[in-house]
Amino acid sequence: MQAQSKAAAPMAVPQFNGLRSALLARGGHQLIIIALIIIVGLAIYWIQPRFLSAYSIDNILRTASIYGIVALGMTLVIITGGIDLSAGSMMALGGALAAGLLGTAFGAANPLSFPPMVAILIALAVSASIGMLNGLAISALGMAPFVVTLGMMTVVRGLTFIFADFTVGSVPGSPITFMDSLFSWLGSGSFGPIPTAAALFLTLAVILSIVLRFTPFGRSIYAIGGDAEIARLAGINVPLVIVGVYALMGTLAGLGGIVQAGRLSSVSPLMGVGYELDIITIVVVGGASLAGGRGTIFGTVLAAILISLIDNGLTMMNVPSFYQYLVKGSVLLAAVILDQWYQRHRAATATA
Amino acid sequence: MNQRENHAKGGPADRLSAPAGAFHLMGRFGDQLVPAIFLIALVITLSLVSPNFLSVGNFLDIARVVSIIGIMAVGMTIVILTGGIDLSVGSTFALASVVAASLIPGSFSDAPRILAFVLPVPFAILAGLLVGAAVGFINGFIIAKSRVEPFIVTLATMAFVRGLTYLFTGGFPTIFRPMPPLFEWFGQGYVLGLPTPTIFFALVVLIGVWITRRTTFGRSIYAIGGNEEASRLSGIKVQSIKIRAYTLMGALAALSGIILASRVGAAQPTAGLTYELDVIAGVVIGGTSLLGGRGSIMSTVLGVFILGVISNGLNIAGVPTYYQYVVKGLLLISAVGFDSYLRKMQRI
Amino acid sequence: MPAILHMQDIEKNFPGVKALRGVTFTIESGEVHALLGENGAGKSTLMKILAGAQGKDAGQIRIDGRDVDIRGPLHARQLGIAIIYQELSILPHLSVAENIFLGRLPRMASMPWIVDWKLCCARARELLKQVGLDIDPLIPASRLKVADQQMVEIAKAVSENAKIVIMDEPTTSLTNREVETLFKTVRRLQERGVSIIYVSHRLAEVKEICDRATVLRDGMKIGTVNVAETTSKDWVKMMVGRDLDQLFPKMPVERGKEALRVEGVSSQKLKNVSFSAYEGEILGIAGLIGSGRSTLARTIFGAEARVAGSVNIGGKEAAIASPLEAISQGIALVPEDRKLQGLVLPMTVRENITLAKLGGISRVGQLNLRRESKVAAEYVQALQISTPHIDQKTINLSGGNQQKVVLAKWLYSDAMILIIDEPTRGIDVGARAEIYGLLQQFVEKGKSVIMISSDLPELIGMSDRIIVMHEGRVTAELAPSQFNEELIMTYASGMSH
Repeated sequence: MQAQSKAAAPMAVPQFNGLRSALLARGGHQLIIIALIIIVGLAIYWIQPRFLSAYSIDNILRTASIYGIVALGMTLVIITGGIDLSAGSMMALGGALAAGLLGTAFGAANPLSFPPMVAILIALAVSASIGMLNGLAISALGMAPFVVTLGMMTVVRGLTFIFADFTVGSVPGSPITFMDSLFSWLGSGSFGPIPTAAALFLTLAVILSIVLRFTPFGRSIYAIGGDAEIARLAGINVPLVIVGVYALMGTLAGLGGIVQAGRLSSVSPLMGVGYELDIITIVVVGGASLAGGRGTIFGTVLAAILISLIDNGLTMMNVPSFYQYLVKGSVLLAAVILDQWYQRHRAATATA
Repeated sequence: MNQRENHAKGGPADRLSAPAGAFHLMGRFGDQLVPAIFLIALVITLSLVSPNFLSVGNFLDIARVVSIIGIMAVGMTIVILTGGIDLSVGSTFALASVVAASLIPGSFSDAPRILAFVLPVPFAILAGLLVGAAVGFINGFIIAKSRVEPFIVTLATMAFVRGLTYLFTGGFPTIFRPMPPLFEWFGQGYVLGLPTPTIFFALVVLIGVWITRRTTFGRSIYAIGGNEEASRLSGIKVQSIKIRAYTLMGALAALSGIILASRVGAAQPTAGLTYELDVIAGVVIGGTSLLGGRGSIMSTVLGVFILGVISNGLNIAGVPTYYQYVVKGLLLISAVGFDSYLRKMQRI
Repeated sequence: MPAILHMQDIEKNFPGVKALRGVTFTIESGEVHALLGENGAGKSTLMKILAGAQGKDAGQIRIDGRDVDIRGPLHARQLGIAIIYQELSILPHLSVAENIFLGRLPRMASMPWIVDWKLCCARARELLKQVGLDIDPLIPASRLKVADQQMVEIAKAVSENAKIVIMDEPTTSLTNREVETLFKTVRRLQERGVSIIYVSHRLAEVKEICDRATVLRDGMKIGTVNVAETTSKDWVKMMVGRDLDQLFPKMPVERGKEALRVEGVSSQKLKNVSFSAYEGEILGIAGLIGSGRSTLARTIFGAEARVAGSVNIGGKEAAIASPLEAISQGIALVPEDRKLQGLVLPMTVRENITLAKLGGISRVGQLNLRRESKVAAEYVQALQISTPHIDQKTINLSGGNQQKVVLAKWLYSDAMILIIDEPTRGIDVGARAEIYGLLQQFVEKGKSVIMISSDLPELIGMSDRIIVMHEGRVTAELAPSQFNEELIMTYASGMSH
């Protein structure tokens, strides 16, 4: 990749003007997703008018927010050129810890009981630490992120089961079912007309956007994704940034799990199995490149909405779930191939 | 990064002198030494801990259990050597097994049949293998022609093929009333006292070793993974080789799926979920690099056996499943971490 | 003049290799000091230690009379040491401004955790002007020409208010005019009292710009000399350890039939290129970077698409649409970048030599390893590739030996027409002469060489004929009587004579 861009560079002419090219450069990809959201939304509405009800929009926003919160973390990870396969397990652990530490679950057997806020903070701290371990293994030992987080995915899933058993204890693998007002507010409450989860998601998105664009930490993430060695030689503390990014990823995955727990008032130790791939799909559809160095928070936010829209829309149209797999696979592939075409087109217009 | 460092290294005279001691050994047997030592240490430890572990019966059992993942891991090694990856193997596994099963005389499912005919067992199996090869071909074709990352392409086909599998089965398992003996033998039989899955695994390994070490196809696979552009400029047909690698992967995933269907007496649409991760774990524990160009089939065999022996040992020791997850994950990280550490010391 | 930098008895070991053995190195303030030596002599390692990119195993470093322990790249910069690496360290996705300030973006005075993009942009603009670049600092670096990217690197180093600037082969990708700009910048820095350590293989540049030169060989310091009092011959002797008889072993060969005729080849970057190459001839192609020389080579070889025109081999039109077809027609390409395009680095010498003609060592797709080893051993012998054994990975060879492996690959593939792009870039003096010798042998067998090079002495010393390119066109064809650097540069820069 690097070689190609360098080889192509000599002919690039540094001229860049006109609204069209500015749009192409900055927001071309985002525009495509916005257009897709509108098209898909209208199509579903045309088939199933019930789709535009307040209830269903609320539902879509909540789904999008839970996926989205985790996808924000994944965006940072993917911009560094990494990947986190442990995200789904981490959601489960975050949710299970927060819910289990309340000590009020149905059939609770554990001696622990904390106030909700404390339980949530502990859960987030644990998620952050596990993310940090991922980051340490990746930066200190130079291991491939794919392998580290693949291993961690299994470890964390195991820990979740163990903790759930410790909490509920009756039948192995049974869910933690509970009731708590703070959790319910997070998962199903509203902030005026906006679902709490959505408000949380958007706030986090805005903060992370600012972090990525305006802080040295955020800029280092792009630099590392571009070329970690160049970043190191420029004096960037690469291990620190990597550990920070994975810790953030862990925290956000834990948070996503907690919101999901609040929404369902229950945490199955199997929560989020396979979610990591859905989340990676969102980030990639949002325009990030697995090669690193490229990706935006705004793209991820839009993609989270698009994917949830498709998910919910298909469900509302009573499309059997197997078709959803087909649609998801096609959307991912189409998005990436379109992006490739667009990148090439852009390179061509830049050289012309 | 490594190239940069290497470029700066000392004088030519120094470079010619052989590296010393353990590093030399490691250079010689390259990828296999660390996992081999690890596997031996594991076997010794488990034999000391549990007397039941060290028996021919138990070893045969391990060999049979690892065959399913192992057959796929051979294909995955080839794909990873080209610098690619295939996440769709679990779905291919399921699709091929339900298609083959539905074509076998005596198969039965609660869903309406999509294919309203049956074939003699060998042809049904062949049909399943062709379905797998077709999925692999499509993966390879898209990857070779579009230059989209293999991770993404196969992530998409993973979802897509799983969807096809549900569509084909309506979500119901295919069972056999009764199972034809030949098909029963396919997954449950014995040859010379060895279980048939193990025989298939061994054959696939032998063919895989031959392909990677002794054929121009295999040589091209390493070359593409090592440097795609240099390979293209040396006249290697990069696209065609990639398509062949993924096609082979698809066929092997299908073979595994069909064997499992025979073993358990049913083809499930949910079969093979998350197998891709087990398969990849086996390959990387063996020491094959996800960057491509470095690794071998024999390393993968070791990696797959390491995973199998650990599972078996933990089962015998009566460790609960959940703790096994934790142990397995930690072992994956530490095995690969140790390897990274050694390489860092050695600076290959 | 006072010593600004003193490195004493520096040692550095890599597993199995002693890269530096007690090197002592002193720089005075305001001098331009050349660091010379063959590849692997330890220059880059010494400079990486100084820049904090690598640690040392023993020795002391004194800056401005104070002992320092350089802990990392950032610390080195705080100590006033800036480095321009041989490989570009430009991140193509990021803006030029951000590349310049990478790792130390200016912050807001009121909110030190927020980057001040306005200030960053303004300061970048100013620095770019200093190195003669008038561009918008907000465009992505990928849109710059390679030479401009190199100037951005220089702007980056200048911006640090450094006391010592290390330039590691800064001119490899620059044209003559840009080299002039670089030299102006160097002199301006020197006037400000900045010391410059100039690492280069190009001895003419050293002669022009440097005050003193230190020569390293095999990780040891051979000596430090005054540039004005010595000749480049003296330095080469110090670098190689012996007198080098003749660099260019050029012997006239009788020109044979027309081997290749390129007619009206056009593409996005090429405009109606026509020329012929003959058996027994070395045809040189000169031109600036970006003039289309490498594109021409890749287009003839089928690695890039052509829109119009034809390629004739031995008088017959050859339909070449891929490297594979080019190879089967007897064309070979030794590409510009050995590591990215020439070799499969993690593969062995043996495997690389046979890569372009696997058919020669296989039958129905099955390799004959014994035969392969024999072939590889033959070529290692014939080309005097210095490697412990044929199963050595090529990543562990020196640049010169790597280039010989690439040549061996094409010799084994029975190439009749060898296109070689920058035959000796980054290759040290000793190995250079051997590569030239191989090219000479090749044409003596009645084959044909097309040699692209930025190194004018090399082109003049080895070519039978030179064509010059400018912006995708052939602007001149020169006979040996017309060979001189000035004339070539005139045509290469597009000025009519």
